Amino acid sequence: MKCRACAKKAVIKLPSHNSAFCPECFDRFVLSQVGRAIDEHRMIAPDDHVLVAVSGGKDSLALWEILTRLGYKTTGFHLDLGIGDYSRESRGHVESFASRHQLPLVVESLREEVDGSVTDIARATRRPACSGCGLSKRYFFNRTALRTGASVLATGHNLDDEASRLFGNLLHWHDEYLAKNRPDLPAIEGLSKKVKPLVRLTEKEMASYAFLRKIPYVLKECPHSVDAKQLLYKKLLNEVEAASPGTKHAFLFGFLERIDRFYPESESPDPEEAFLSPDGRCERCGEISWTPVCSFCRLKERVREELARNGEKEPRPS
Amino acid sequence: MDPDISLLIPHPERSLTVINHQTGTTLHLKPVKTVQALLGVLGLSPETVLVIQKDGLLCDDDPIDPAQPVEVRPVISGGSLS
Repeated sequence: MKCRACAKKAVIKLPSHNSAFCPECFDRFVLSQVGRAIDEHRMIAPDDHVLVAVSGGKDSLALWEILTRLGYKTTGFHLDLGIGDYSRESRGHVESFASRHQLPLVVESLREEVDGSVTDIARATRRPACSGCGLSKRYFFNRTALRTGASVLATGHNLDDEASRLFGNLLHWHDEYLAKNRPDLPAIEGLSKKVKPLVRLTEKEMASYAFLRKIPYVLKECPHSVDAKQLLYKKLLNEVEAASPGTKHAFLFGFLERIDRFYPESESPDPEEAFLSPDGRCERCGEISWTPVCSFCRLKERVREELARNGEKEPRPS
Repeated sequence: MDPDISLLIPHPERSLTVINHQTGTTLHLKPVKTVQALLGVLGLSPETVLVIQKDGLLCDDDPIDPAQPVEVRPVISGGSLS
């Protein structure tokens, strides 16, 4: 198979674009897709300071590298989840990347802040581990963005992440989440602007990019994500994609073209939590909150209560 | 020995080594000619994995060298928010 742009040997076939590319042309393709997403959704201005949330996986590390190549001022942020070897390996890749590229990095520890493991959080909240983990990440990302003076928070969500999220939200008609199922969420007082510059690229494309750019990343999956519903939705969408290339893109971008019509700001199903500015702060941690005590501080309290109820002084291993 | 007589000497069947670092598994399969055929044997969609041999990415219709190990690297992740 030959590259559609230069006729050299192709290393990746992109049926959804009816194309195939050699490493050099694929590199240009990826940079152009990220640049297009940033421009179309006005994600990042040239003078913005971008806090990049890096997990140690292919997408977030590749995003950090791409934003740096595109000339943006970036700081990395890694939340160490304390999940055994998985977290140790993830953190190692992030720290090595930052050191190799001489980029600033902030690392926080969930276990130190909550005084409990991800397993403790799941048991205390009676919810899947991903739920407490997501809540914690959002809290730390916002807090770190404000502390570092970053004007934009960028995450490595790709086309598959966003399409599968949309699929799940539609299956359950989660209007409050559908209204926010977009690659750009504006800044409001006390909360940073959030953007997803990889929204035009698939997981396969991002994994290929990370491989070709020789970016080491954690290959293991988070042990808590094995049963995640998102994996099922991705599998189903990929089956449709194999039979009809381009469907994932059409599904997500068709929705984004209509989102303002479906969910105009003024008629947002949950206006207080959608785009309006909150006016309060958490009485414990001082971070922005719609309630007297923010959801993260309530989570910490529940973990403490759970450990005390079980007579445990030490957090359980994750 | 009569030069017209040939001997058929049986040899151990060759196998293709397929490695998955994510699961830590190694398979030894009957050699296949192309990436597409390998993915068919493994029941995988091309959208969900990278196929790597001799430090290079392979496309669906690329041939596979049976003498070299092949890495099949899953690309789908889930449950993460960053």
